[in-house]
Amino acid sequence: MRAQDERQYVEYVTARLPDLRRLAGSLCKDAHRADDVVQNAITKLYVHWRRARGADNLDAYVRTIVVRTFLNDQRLRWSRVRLTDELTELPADQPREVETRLVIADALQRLPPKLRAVLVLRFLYDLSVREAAATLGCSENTVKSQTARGLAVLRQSLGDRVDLRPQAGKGVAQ
Amino acid sequence: MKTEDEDYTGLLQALREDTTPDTGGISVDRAIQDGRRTVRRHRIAGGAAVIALIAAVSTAPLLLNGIGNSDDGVAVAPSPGSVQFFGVWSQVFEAGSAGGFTPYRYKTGRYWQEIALRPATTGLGKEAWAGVTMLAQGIEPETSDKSWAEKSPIANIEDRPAYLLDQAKASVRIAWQYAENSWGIVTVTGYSAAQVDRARQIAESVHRGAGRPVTVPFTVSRAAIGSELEVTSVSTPIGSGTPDPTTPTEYLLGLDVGAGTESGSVIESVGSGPLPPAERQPQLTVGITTPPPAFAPTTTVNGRPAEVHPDDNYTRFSLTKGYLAIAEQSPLSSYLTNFTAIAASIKLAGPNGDPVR
Repeated sequence: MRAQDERQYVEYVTARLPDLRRLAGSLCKDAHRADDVVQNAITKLYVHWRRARGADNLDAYVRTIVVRTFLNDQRLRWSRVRLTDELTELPADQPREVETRLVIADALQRLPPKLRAVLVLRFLYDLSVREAAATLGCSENTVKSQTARGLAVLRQSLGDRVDLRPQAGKGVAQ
Repeated sequence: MKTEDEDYTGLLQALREDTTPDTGGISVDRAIQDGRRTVRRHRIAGGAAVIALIAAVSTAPLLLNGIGNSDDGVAVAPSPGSVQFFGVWSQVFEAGSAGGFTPYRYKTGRYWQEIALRPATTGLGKEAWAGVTMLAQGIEPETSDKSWAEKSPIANIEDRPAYLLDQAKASVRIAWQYAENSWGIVTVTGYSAAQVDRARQIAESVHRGAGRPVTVPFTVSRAAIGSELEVTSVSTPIGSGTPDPTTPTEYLLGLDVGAGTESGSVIESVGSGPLPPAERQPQLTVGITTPPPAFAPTTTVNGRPAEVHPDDNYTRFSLTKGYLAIAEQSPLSSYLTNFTAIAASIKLAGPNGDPVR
């Protein structure tokens, strides 16, 4: 890679690192794994920097690398953290909103990786069905069905552990 | 979108974090170094003459280490004799149940060997796991990584120095000197208040064994894999096996391009700080898993359902007797293209001799 290209790469990655880490943190079960995903993703980005830079939407391109790196990582069981039915051990005296957040995060992390990725992209990153499908490399129908399935599992997992009052004005793009 | 789903939209948005996440565990410099090495591998793989030369002569490690610019920043492998390599086909260490965890998987390698542990009891909270990484004698974690540079001494383990590398909300890592010029690292996750003690207990349970031979109950075709790749790690179940019936039992071989390239990547990886298991993937991973996880067949291989993803570099297909065969390339690499042929050549077989034949 030419020095100028490399400078652009470093500038871009340095500026985007917090966002990429935040996305990986939403997908992964622990901080180390999230670091790994981002580390692998930005390495991959370096290898394909020329192609990436020419993409219509560089941010979307990089987000796709992060999500697919996460999903690839999940296939190798050595790195898999097992799922259990145990409840999260919550520290005492947490404010209610913090407790609710922990319970939701725990329920999300119990989902299979692909379902989790769909929900994170759709509801945390407000991606449309089409955008999520492009990111995950699947059809729009698959995104729709996995969204419905993910929400169903989430609903079952949460049960009555959190207050499900509707949040007005929080719709997402179709 | 259904109204009911909108409830969850709002709910999930509560997870949005306004604070800036800690990115201290990510290194742009390391990404550049790894990226440069990958680009060089592509170039090497693209040159048929070079490949033939590498395959033909035993000096491949020297050739591979010699290619590239002097400013690439690739760490130099230690000189032969300074590192006491482990055998790829030998389980060098044994670990007992300790700190509430019990071993269930072992991964061999020349430069380090790894033990994965699962909770032995139900009281450790959700998703707790532990890992042990034993570095070969002569490999020291360098000081370029912040966590190693800022290590804090803790009480000796087996009368040898030990350090706390980091202690985050979800995990703790310690390192200890298990023998002269030899280091081991324990990672424990979970929200237990006694993480450090658990890590210490796990470290104390690790001891050097007699070098138990490792085997895998399958074979894979050397012709399909090609002559350049060598087995650099073997991952097998140990102890009482997987945590629960839903966690597959797996036998995996990691293959990489010659010992020279392996040493470069592994040493550099270690040099950037002690790392928990599964930080890096080899060029190619092949193996079998049972029970087969749910997968979506896209075609058939050998008349059996198969899932082929050329863009994502992996192929899986169903074997008989409830096994699934896996052939997967590192996401960082495009070294190989014939995953289907590799996966198709995997056959169940008794644990007998070199499985790559």
